[in-house]
Amino acid sequence: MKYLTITGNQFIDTCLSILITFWPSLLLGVKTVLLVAISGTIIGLVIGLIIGGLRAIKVEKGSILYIIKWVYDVLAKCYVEIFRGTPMMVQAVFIYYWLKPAFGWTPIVAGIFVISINTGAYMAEIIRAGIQSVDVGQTEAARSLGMTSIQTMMNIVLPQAIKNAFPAIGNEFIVNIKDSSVLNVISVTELFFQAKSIAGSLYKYEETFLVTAVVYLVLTIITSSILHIIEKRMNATKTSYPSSSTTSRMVKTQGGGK
Amino acid sequence: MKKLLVLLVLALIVTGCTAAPTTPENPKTPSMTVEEGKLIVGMECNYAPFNWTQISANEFTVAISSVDYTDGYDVQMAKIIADELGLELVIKKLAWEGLIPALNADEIDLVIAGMTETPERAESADFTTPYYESDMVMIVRADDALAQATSIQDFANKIVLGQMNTTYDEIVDQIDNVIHATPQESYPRMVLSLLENEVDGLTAELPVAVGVVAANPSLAIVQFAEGSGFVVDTSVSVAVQKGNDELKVAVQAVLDTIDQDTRNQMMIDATNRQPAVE
Repeated sequence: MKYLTITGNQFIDTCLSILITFWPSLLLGVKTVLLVAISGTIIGLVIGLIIGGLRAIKVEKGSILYIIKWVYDVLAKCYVEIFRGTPMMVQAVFIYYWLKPAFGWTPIVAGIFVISINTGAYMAEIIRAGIQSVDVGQTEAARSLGMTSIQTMMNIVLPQAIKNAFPAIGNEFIVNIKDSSVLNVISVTELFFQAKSIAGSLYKYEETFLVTAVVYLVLTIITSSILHIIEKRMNATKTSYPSSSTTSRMVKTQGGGK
Repeated sequence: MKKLLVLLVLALIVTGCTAAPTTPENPKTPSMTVEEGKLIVGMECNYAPFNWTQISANEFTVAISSVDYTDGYDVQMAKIIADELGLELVIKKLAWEGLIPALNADEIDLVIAGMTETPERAESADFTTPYYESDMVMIVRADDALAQATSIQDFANKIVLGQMNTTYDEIVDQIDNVIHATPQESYPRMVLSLLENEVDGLTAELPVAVGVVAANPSLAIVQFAEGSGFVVDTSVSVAVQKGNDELKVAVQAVLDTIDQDTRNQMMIDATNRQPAVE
């Protein structure tokens, strides 16, 4: 490979040369990272909503439903503990090779599967905490209006829980962008795997991984800015209810000058 | 309106489901490769000069993704084998520890990745006779007195590093009183350890050492005279799935037609083409 002379500093020039020469390779890695992180976070959120949401539903003692709920709680707890308590790298290798004969899947599909169920375990806890943060008066009011516990959960509690948990959900997405790098062990062509190839082909370790670190950083900074904007929009109340709390919040927001 | 949408989605799903199986499905004919008409070869694509990744295509390269290409001694060997067997060559870039598992999971047909046959590996895969043999040398800092070493025993009380899970690491203990460094996973990382004085020497096969020194002029190669070097099998072989004798015999027949001089020339050419060499 031809190394360019741009700044005169050999180290920086090597970094820039790697970026200029190998950008398509790195870009492919970035695309895979985004694919895995986005789909993993979304599927993980769905898993978390189902598992966390069902866990928060209360069933009256003495009924058959109570026993089913008890079994479900134990299973859900096991799932969360197992996937939060073991490294994703170990999960990736084990699940990929273990289920390979049954599914015949490619590394990328297996990678999305692993990151989804791993994220699901974290999301279940995030959603559970989000549900707990919703004032119990909301549930009481909904129930007194005649809603069933499922209706209350779907229409009243969960929307507020998701809103409260949004920063934590967004954080999971950023974690997934970084943690997708462990999927290199099962040969998912994500950014770290691509960087490993470049470093090994050029025998330039420090330079390649500095470039890679910068690419990861750019990805996470852009993502957190986008999440920040979404969060701000969610909090900016745009209802036309003439309630005093809405007005006071709007005044406060304007007054804050932010 | 909502119902209409649901119906539409349902219809799409149903047609999607039925459409999939109607696509012509090849009845699985007995074939010695995983996919009929194709030879799928696994390698790391980060172990120059055996295999490496580059961004531009040329007459030597094989595409491994929409943007990456691979070249190297292993790639050229794979090309010859595929050509002779009349198969289309497909190269899959895999992590080192995933190569033999991929072979056994019917993901690839061959491992051509600078891999030496060892008794442990022979339990999980079958190997052909070697397709390349080289010398085991050491890489040291050029300004170190060790650059003048003539025997591996000159490295007594020095820190020597080998690559994890390779014969490079196993042979370190042949040096008496050596300080055996914790093996590292990747070769470029090892080079860094040497450059930063964390270790005094790296074990390497000659073609790899030539590539490393070409990329890092402050390093030097130490070669040992017969009898004072490492006792080691530095040959590399092609791995096939255990029991796939048909493919093994076919590959072996192709390898047998490539003589030693041709192999050496292929390695010199690959060493000159590798990206580390400017």
